[in-house]
Amino acid sequence: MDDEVFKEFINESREHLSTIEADLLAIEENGVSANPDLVNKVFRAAHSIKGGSSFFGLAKVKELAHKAETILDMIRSKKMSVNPEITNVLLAAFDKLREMINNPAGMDGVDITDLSECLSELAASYLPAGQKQTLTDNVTLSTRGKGPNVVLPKIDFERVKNAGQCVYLVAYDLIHDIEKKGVNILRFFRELEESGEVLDCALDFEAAGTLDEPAGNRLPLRLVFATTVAGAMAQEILMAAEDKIQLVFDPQAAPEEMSAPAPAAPAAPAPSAAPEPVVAGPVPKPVAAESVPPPAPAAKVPEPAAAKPVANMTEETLRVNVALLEAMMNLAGELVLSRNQLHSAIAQNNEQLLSVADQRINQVTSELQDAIMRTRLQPIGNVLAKFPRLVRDMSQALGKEIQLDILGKDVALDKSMIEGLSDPLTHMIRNGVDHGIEAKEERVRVGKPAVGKLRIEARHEAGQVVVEIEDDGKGIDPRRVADSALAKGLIAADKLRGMSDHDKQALIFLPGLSTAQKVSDISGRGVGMDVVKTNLDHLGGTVEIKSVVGKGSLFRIKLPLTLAIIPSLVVSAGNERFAIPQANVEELLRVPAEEVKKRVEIVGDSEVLLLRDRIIPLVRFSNVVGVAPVYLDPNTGQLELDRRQQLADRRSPRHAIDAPAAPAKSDAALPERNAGRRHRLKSALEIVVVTTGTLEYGLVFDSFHDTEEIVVKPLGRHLKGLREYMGATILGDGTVVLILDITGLSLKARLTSISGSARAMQKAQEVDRERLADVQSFLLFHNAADEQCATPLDTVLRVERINSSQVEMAGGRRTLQYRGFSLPLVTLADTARVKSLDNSKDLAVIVSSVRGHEVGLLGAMPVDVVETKVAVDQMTHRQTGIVGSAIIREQTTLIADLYELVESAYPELVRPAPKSTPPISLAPLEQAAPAEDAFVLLAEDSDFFRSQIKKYLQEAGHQVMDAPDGQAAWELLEKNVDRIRAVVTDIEMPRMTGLELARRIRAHPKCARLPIIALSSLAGEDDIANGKAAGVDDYQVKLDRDRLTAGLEALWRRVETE
Amino acid sequence: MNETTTDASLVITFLLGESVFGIDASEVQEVVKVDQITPVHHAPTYVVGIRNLRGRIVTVIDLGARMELNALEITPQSRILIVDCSDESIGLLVDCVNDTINTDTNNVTPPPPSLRGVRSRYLRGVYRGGGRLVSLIDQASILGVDSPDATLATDGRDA
Repeated sequence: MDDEVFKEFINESREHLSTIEADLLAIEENGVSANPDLVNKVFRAAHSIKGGSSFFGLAKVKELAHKAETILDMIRSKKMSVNPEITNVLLAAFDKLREMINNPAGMDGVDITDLSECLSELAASYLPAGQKQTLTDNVTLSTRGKGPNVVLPKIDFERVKNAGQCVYLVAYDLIHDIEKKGVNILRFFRELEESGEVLDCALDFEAAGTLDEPAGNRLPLRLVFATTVAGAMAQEILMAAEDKIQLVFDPQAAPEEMSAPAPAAPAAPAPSAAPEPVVAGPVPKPVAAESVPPPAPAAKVPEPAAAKPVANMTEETLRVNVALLEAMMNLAGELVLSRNQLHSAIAQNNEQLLSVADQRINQVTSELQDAIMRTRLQPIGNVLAKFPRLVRDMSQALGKEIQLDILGKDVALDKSMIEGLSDPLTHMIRNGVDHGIEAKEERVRVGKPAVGKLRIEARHEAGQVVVEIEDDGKGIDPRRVADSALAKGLIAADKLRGMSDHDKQALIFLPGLSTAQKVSDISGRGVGMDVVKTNLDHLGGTVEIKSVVGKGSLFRIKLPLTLAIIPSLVVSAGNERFAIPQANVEELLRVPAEEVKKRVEIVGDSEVLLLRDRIIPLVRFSNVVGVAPVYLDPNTGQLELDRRQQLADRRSPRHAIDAPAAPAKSDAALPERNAGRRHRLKSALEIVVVTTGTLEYGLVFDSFHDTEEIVVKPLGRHLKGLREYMGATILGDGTVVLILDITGLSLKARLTSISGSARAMQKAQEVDRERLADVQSFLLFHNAADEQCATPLDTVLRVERINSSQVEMAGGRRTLQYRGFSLPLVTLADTARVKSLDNSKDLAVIVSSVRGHEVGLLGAMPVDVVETKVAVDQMTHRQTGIVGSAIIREQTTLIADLYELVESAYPELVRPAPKSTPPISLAPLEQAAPAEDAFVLLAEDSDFFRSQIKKYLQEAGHQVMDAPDGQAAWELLEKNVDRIRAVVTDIEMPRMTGLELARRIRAHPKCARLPIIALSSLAGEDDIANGKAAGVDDYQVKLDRDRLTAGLEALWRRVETE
Repeated sequence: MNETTTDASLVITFLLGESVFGIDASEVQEVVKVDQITPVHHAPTYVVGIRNLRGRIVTVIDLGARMELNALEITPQSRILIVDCSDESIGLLVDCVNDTINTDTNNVTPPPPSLRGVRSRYLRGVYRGGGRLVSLIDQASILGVDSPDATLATDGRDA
């Protein structure tokens, strides 16, 4: 018996095991009315595993498979009806079997005692008392003459006896009777199974050695076969000579046994089970069968000599459609013909023939490639198959009820893709079951059906495969995600403000974010959706979310069909080329030499790149892998070794760290140190901005080449540990290049998504704080094409891009249907004397909140964000709807006042006007002190902000005293200490800062409880802590009118109630 | 080929520096010229790089470095022995390939105890015959990756 047969057994068992789970679940679902064919199928599968393991001497596999078989038989014969408990045990048994089959070498170490007992007890509990014994008893059948005895469980023997079948004991010689005849033993079993049942078999390895004949010449095999066929027919089926077959049991000879098994069977089963051979045909003499007590038999099972060739058995195999194989054969033939054509063309030096051959080879190659790719395609059902079980087990554990629908199992994907998809899908489904779908009671409470729905659907769409996972659970609450991200410092507060709900939901892909409030043992083990995204990135796929709070979530994964051939960008570092998967490439960037200084900064010991409004880590590829970098000498046009180790070293020599890349030799190679330096200054930076998961960074190379479709080939085992490469490929010119793994490389460069982006974020904040102390972010848009306008970014909720046809005119007003309601729209031209809105198709709607109403300001594209020091001229262009003007990007820019615009166009929105009906919460205050005597003290050094904030406060019904710095404010306060009810102050001010002001106020005997609100465009946690220490009660963002007034009122209320 | 009896085998001999080594000819698929090798940064020191062998990617190992002799310089005489090792082809870079000899097991002795450490671990014996000494490489152990000296440069600290 050779490896091949064993491999076949392993593979066959795997196939059985892969379908059993789904079948069992279907049986459980349908209960008593389960399709008997299905039960039979599972029974057969268990039986076939038992048969094979018995042949190969895999005792543990055999034991489990047999016990599972027994239970399945009881289900089949309706002695037992399926319930979840039974399914659980059976599933566990098949799990264990799978574990053993998948790792045949480690089989001996597997402990099956508990499971085995569990199965036995289960079977016993459904048997009448008298028959329980048959579970543990064995029947030993021994042959005449030499050869092993066959020990088989009594229950099987009884079963076939009761079914009225003949039982034969057949003696084979494995070598001569079977293998020498070219029969594969497994296939032989399978054939036998068609007309009966192979109950058991035993091989005698010892006998083989002790015989006189040359070693290895004989291998006795005993087989117990039950069938309804008798006589000569049986002989034919069994492919054995008459004298090799013994009829152990003949139903016709022992009819009384069938009808009345009682007397002999349980107590003294032994001799009676050995029926005298009343032979019906030319079937030979019977044998003695005796029952043996349980412990004995195991010893008789031949030691698994067969278990030896096992080590390599986990090798992968793949089934290929024969038609496809034929097609490939044809193509291979074509290829040979084409080669011959090429040969003769070369021999004749005939250019025309050459080009014909070239064409032909080209075509055949691509067809062949296509055919071979198709052999790798597998149905996605292979990976989806495990989910019914997963969902069932999880929902049982969580006390939920979930109906799982799986659609599109047949959609084919590349093998590697299927494997890579397993983890992310599992994670998302766990999430859906655990966090998405609510508990039964909660569902009923919110009026949903108690049974939750989970849908997994795969389909082809535009050359891609789309996999959707949808649940009807509670959805993803964008606010909770945003709060969590903010609390964990994963995102800056001002970034959040401009985000739509959808963007906020997408934050769940940030590393380190988990929205589950409690960590359950089912999901939420610290790995989150970021891992899902990273995994999918690896597969070249994308994932997006659509989620409505209360309604459910939909995750849509898009995948390319295959991984083996990927488009990639070829780049150079030093004299070496590398390939980067196109899927990771975000953009290519060239920073001209004169801008390098401006755009590359150093944080700690690493570099960052200013990319538009973002700051991303920068990795000098040559430094990471240790390639000697080169640069193009602008004078000679030649590549020269670049000795620069770090981009920044020309500015800060202390950063010249050791770089293994630049050997000492190169010093001599360069003509003159200073000359080299000058050249470097002239060299621009070639940067590939790459993304992986949520991490984005820039990789500096020496030059870029083309993009090429490359075939990914794995690296050998000596190089498997290198995470920075995902493989190698052979380029068109025959050179081998390494393919970079962007994730691995980031680890190598010690950029993890957290440290990298957090560092960049920290840098961003530092930069903001240092240089942009009084800088404001503005959203730039256009009114007329030549009229640039801006609005403070802080006041913007989000920006939507729409088509001008979506704008509806009704009653002289513009509205936009938006998320199920009408969004009032205004334009600058409605109110202010400006040119009318640019008549283009694409418009931007800048959504802000005015008095709690969402209002959209229409602007023309392009829309951009700038950060700039404000020097707002509040005179020249001031008019209703326009605060003033500023010079932004060397252009006069009108700054819109949305509040005024709305007030003029939709007076009723603003009408619960402050002065006529003051906010309710102010009422108690006004009772306590007449409104005329209640002032808010405002300290702010920027004229623009001061006047704006003052206006807000006044419009909200407050009287305001204002001061241009802390000192002036302090003086005002000292004079009016009884009239001032609250202080609103900027932090950074000349003469006295806001914090100092706060400290002084708190030190003043009369002002201990005076509410203080600090204003800031950027408030980090440190700032807030410092502010608290100084006595600040609350932080608010400048120009966020609604929040400022709300915050003020809340503080007031608190003071009042104290 | 000669009818091999159980105690003789054909061995290809080659040079690493000055020393003569031998490897079972049955284990060598082919001998190729060095051609173009793509270096793999961060690979173990004994890995020269990867090479295209008719569309397959083959890892090339510097046998000198692997044996803890001096790393080899590539010269026009340098050759790569392609050996198969559980489904993967691996190239062994050697200084030059000499000839093939028939070794008789009777003339193969265990590596002398004076050879310490790695070198003796990677040798299966020393052949003495025809007036010369040939150290016989143990293919299985020299291609293994799990030996302690085969540390993979996987952590970033050395970057």
